[in-house]
Amino acid sequence: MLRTDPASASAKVPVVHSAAMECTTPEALACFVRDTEGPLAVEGAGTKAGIGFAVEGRAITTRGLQGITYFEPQEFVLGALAGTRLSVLESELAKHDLILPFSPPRFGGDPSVGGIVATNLGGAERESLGAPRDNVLGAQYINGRGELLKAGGRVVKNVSGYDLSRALCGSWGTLAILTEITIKVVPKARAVAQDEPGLDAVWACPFVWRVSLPRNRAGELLNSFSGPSAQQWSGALLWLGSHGAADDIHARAAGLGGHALLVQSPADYRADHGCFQPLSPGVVRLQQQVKAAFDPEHRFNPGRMYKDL
Amino acid sequence: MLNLPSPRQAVLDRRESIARDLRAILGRDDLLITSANELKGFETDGLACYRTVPMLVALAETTMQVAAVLRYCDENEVPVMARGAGTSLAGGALPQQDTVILGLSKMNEILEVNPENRTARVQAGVTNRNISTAVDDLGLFYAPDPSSQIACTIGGNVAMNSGGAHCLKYGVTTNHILGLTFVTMEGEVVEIGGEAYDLPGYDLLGLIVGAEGQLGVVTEVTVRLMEKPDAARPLLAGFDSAVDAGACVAAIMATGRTPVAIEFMDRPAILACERFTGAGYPTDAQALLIIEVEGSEAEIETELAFVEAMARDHGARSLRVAEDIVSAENIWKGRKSAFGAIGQISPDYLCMDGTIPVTKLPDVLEEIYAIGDRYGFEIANIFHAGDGNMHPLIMYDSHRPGVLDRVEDCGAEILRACVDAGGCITGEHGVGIEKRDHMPLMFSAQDLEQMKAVKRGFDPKWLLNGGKVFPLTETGIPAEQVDPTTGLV
Repeated sequence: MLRTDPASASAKVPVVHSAAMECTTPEALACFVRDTEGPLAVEGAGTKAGIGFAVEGRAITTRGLQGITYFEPQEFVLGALAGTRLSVLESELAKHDLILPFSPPRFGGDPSVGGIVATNLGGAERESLGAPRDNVLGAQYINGRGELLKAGGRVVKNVSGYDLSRALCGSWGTLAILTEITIKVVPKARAVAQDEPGLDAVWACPFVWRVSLPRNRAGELLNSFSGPSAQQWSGALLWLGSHGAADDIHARAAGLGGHALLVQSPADYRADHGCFQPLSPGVVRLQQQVKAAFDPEHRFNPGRMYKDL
Repeated sequence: MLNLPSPRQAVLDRRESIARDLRAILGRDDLLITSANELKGFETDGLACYRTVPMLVALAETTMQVAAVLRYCDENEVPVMARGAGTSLAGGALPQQDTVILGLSKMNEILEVNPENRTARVQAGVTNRNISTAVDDLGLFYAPDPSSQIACTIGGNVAMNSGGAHCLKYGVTTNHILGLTFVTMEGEVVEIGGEAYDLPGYDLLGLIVGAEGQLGVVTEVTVRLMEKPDAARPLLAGFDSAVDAGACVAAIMATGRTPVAIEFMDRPAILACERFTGAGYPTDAQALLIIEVEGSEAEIETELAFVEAMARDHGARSLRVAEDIVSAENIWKGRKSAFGAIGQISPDYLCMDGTIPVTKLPDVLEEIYAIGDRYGFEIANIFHAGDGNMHPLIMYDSHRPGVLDRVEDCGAEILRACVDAGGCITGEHGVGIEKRDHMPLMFSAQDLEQMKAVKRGFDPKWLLNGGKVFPLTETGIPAEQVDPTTGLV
C-alpha cells in the first residue's frame, strides 16, 4: 500500500546503481516519483529502446523490481514484479509444464514482464491465446502523481470497475510505471509452433516493420513489397525488412485497415520519424484525455510514442 | 436500499423544453417517448428491485442522432444514459428521474460480415444471439454468451464486458472486440480500432469495454468471430456433497484440459430447476455439474471419457452423458431456465456475481451457506465453476418490511468472502448501482480516484450514466450531501 508519510519514506529512496535510477521496491520507486520533478525516461530491460522517439528526462528503470510474488499453478495465475525477466518466468513456469500465453518478441534480449505488458506486442499465439493485454488480470502501478495504485485482480473473470490494467497495456510507459503484473498462464500443451524461418532475413535489414492487418488485405501489402518478409497469425501479421526507410508503410497499412510499427531503424532516422502509427484527430484527443488522467504533468516518457503525448 | 443522487431540479423544470429540443434533433416525433405510461417501460432492468421512471426516452436510429443528442445533453447539462435491451442484473441500465435514456434498440442491423477475416461489423442494438445466427451458415459464431443472449445487445455487452458459460474456453467480451464507433459526450464520432488485431496507441478498446457506458456511447462494433466446433456435448454428474463437486472442478481445471463450460448447481438450485423443467436432474444429489466438451466426434469421445473418469474419482454418483442433440438440450434445459425456476419458488431473489480462485470453491461455498443461515435466507448456487464465477441467488420476499436491506447486507458479506478468498465482487455482471458501494472492498480511495479521473476526462460534467460504479458514500455520508455532479462528497 501507498505510504502516506513522504518524509519518513523518502529516507528509503534508493541509491543510483547505474545511469538509470533503480529501486528494489515499488514503494521506493513511487517515493522517487513523488520526491522529484520533471520528465522521467521510464524503462524496463531496455530491449525495445530502439522503438520510438528518444525521451529527454531522468532515466528511471524497473530493473530492480525482481521476483515472482504470487504463483498458483493449479489456478494458472502468476504475479511478478515488473522488472522480472522473461527467462525467469519461463523457467519457473516450465517446472509446472506451463507457459506464458503470449510469446513476445525478444528483440535479441531478455525483456521484463513490465516491458512486455507496457508494449503489448503479441507473439505467435496472438490468434489463439491472445496478446499480453488479453492475459493481464491485474496490475500495480505508479501514476504521474507518484501514487502507488492497484487495478484489476487475480481472477480471470473480473469486471469490478474500469479495466485500467488493460488500458495500461501498450502505453509504453507514458501513462504509468507498472510495478507488478498478474497474468494468466496456460498449459504447455496449448503452445503454438514458434518457427518463423523468414524472420531472420527480415531482422538482418536495417529497417523492420511489424504490420497488423485484416487477414484478407495482408496479401495486397505483401505483393507490393519487395524486401524480405515473414507472416504470423495466419497472415494477419506481417514482418517486413527493408534497406530504405519505406516510410509509406504507415499510410499503406492504414489504407488496408491495419497499422504498422517500425521496430528496427537507425537512431538518426528515428530522431525525425515516428515509429508508431499516426492516429486520427479524434483518437488523438481521446488519448490526450487518458494521458491527462494518469499523468497530468506529462512526466512519464514524454514524446516516446507521439510527440504530443 | 442504495441511495441515488437526488435529481437536478433545474433539469426537471426544463422537461418540456428539453423534450421539444430533442424532438427537433431526432427529426421525428415518434422517436421521443414522453408519456408516463410508455416511460414506465424503462424504469428498471434486470435488477428489478430498483425502479425509477426516466424523464424522457430518445430512440436513436443513427450514429448522427446519438451524437446530436449527446452534444445537446452536454451543452445543456442533462443527465443521459444509453440503453440496449435493459437486461443488466446490476442496475447498469437503471435511470434516474432526471435522465434522458438514449435507446439504441432500433440500431439493430448487421452491417457487414467478413468471413475471410472472421469479423463482423454490427450496430450496437443487435442482440448477442443474432450475431451468431447471422454467421451460422458460414460455420462461425460470436463466442461470449451471456445467459440473456436472446435479448441482450452487443452494445450492452461492450459496456459491461459481459461473460457467459462458454467464456471459460473463449474469453469474455473484451477479448472479442476489434473496433468501435464511439461517440463522445461532446458529440464527436471517433472510430477506434478496426478489423486488424490490437490497435495503435493506447488500448482505448480495453478502456471503453467494461466502463459501463460512463465514458461515451458505442453505436457500432466490430467483433471477432470464431470457427464453430463440429459438435459439443455435455455430461451431467451428481455428487453427494458440494465439496466433492468443487474438488472435481478444481482437479479438472488443474489438468489444463479446459472444457468449454463447467456449470455448477447446488441442491436448492437442482430441486428448483427439476420442478420447473423436469429435465431429469438427480434430486437426491447435493450438487450437480454440467461439463461440456467440444470438437470432432473423436475429440469429444476422448474428452468426455476423461471428464467422466475425473467425476467418478471425485465420487460422482449419477452420471449422464448426452448421446445426441436432444439429450444435450435436455441436460442444458434445467440450467438455462435456472433463474426462472428460482423465481417460481421464491417471490424475489438477488443474484450475486463474485469470482473466486477455483481451488477455493468448496471453502467459499461453505461460507456462503453459513452467511445465509445467519441472515435466515435460503441461497441457491449456480456458478460458472470452471472460472470461479459464482452466482449465489439469495431468495427473499420483498413484501416483508425492511427485507431488502438485510438481503443486501447478506450479499455484501458474500462479496466480502469472495474478496477475502482472493477474488472480486463482480465477474461478469458489472458494478452498476448494485455493487457500487462495495468497490472499496477491492480498491483504495486512491485506486478509485484514478478511475474517476478517467471518467472526468471523458465526461467532465458527470452526465453519462451517473450514480453508478463508484460509491456515493464511502464513509456513510447520506446521499443528500453528495454532489450529484461529481458523485463526490
